[in-house]
Amino acid sequence: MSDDLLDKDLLRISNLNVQFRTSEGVFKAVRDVSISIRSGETLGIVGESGSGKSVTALSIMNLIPNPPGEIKGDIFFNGQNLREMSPEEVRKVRGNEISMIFQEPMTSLNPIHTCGKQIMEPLLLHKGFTKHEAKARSLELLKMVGIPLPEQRFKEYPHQLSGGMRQRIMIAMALACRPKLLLADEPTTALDVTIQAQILELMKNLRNEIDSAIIMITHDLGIITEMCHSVAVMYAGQVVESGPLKELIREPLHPYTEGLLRSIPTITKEKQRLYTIDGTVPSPFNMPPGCSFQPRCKYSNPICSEQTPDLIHVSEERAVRCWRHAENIGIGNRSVLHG
Amino acid sequence: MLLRIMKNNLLFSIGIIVCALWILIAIVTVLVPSITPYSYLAQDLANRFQAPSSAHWFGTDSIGRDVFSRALVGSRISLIAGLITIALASLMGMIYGGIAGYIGGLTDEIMMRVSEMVMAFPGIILAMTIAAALGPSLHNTLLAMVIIWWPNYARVMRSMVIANKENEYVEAAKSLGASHFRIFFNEIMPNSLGPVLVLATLDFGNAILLFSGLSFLGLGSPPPTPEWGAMVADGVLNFNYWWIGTFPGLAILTMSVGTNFIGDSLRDFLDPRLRKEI
Repeated sequence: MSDDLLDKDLLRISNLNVQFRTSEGVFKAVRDVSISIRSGETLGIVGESGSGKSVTALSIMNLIPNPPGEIKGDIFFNGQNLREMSPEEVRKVRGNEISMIFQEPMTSLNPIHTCGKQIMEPLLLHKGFTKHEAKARSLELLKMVGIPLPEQRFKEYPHQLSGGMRQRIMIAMALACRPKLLLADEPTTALDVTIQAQILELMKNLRNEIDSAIIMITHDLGIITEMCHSVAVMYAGQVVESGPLKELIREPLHPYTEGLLRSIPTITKEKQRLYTIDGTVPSPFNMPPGCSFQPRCKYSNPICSEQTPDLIHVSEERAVRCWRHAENIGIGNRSVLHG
Repeated sequence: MLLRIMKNNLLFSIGIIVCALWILIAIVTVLVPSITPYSYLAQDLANRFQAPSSAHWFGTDSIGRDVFSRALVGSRISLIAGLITIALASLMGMIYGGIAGYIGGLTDEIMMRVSEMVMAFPGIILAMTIAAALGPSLHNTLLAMVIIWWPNYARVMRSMVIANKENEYVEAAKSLGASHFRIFFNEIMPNSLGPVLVLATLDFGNAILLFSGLSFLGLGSPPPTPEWGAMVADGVLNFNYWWIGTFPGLAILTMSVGTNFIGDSLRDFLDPRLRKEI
């Protein structure tokens, strides 16, 4: 990548490593993750539970509890390295330029404050609004996220609202300061499908309206195809494949991506057994040597259990962490491969 | 609202009525001192050790003071002592326990071990030691009571804060850029107050009881201030005249039982598992 390309990136994470020291040993939740995103884009991060998606998002916000967590690597936001900022400076970025939508709308709002008070909070914290201005803006936000009777909802407590409404409140809070980057950590997992569609539609509209970048973390490939421009697939703490959505879906390079795509149920075909990827995610305390997907991979070679593949850029925008492609473009260590 | 609650819960109503009555007595005797049949200080040596009669409802003590008047006036000091002790102890305990719970780790360990050192002593003995060492006076006794009492609140507050700080809304507040101060006072504290308030109400009666105990042992205000505990002690010295000790003793009993009834009902109300229609 050339330098002027890097400058266009709103967020660039390079070689992010996050590990937790626990009594059972060191748990590497995120290993060598590098991703980048530009303004107005939506990046989807897919992966199973425990693949490190949420931890990646939390480390962007610097919300990993330390100890036991340790973050290594660089996170450049708007050209500034978030990892080198003081906690005070990071706090000014949080909620203001980067904000986050959480998975559980039922528990992510404080039960003892009214919804209005909670939406006003970031405005009072970051924008120096007066109470009066903050209230006016909050009502605007409530309207923007499609909440009927905003005046009334403003005064209500979270328990008086449904899950979908609460998620809208969360989104309103996250958008209050017009952030440049929105991290959505499974924003629709706790909602039913109709509400899910509405929330996604809402997020799309808002993205277009305020031109922010969204990182959409999910395990639902449907949401990814609905929302995202590019995708990063994570497995066992690593990005195993990344690239533009259409290419990745048309021609998955990593066996894991291929498996994921094949295991989506379809309604067009006759009744048939749903495809599954055999085996389970390896224990983080006991990673297999070499490629971490190798025990479940149907293309596995001897080299796969000996050496860990690097993330290989097969084109300008696509990268994959698999020996098969290293071999194709001639980067692989052939003596090991054939010897 | 209060009336509706009282209709359904007998103990709560008794507690409220008894406490309201004592608070009323305390306020009225301050505002209108002449309302008591005799001055609580007036000695009448000709009428010492009078049994209860229409002239002296609760009889007279060893120097001829009217026990009824003194018992009424004594409510003032007991209420104030209970209130100050609980208010200061709970405030101190909440801040201490809150900080320990919020910071966690080694700080928490050290802070809680220190508070346990205080708790390891039997309360009344430690309070006696402190009050005796500082010299018997009302405010030293109160200080001693606060010192032995705050760890209870620190423990409750700490456990509530530890439970509440893991809540998602706390993480959400962090992601919005809230400072530690704001997170602690705005998000965690209000959600942790319930149990501490219940404990404070429950403890109010105990504090009055302990205060009476200490003044019984001569560690309260110097005489002739009317204090229920000191009056009971007087009754013990003059054991043949049962009324001298019995009536202030009944006053202590009603006040502490009353506040305990309120505290119990409040706990039942705030704990959803025990909640009944109160």
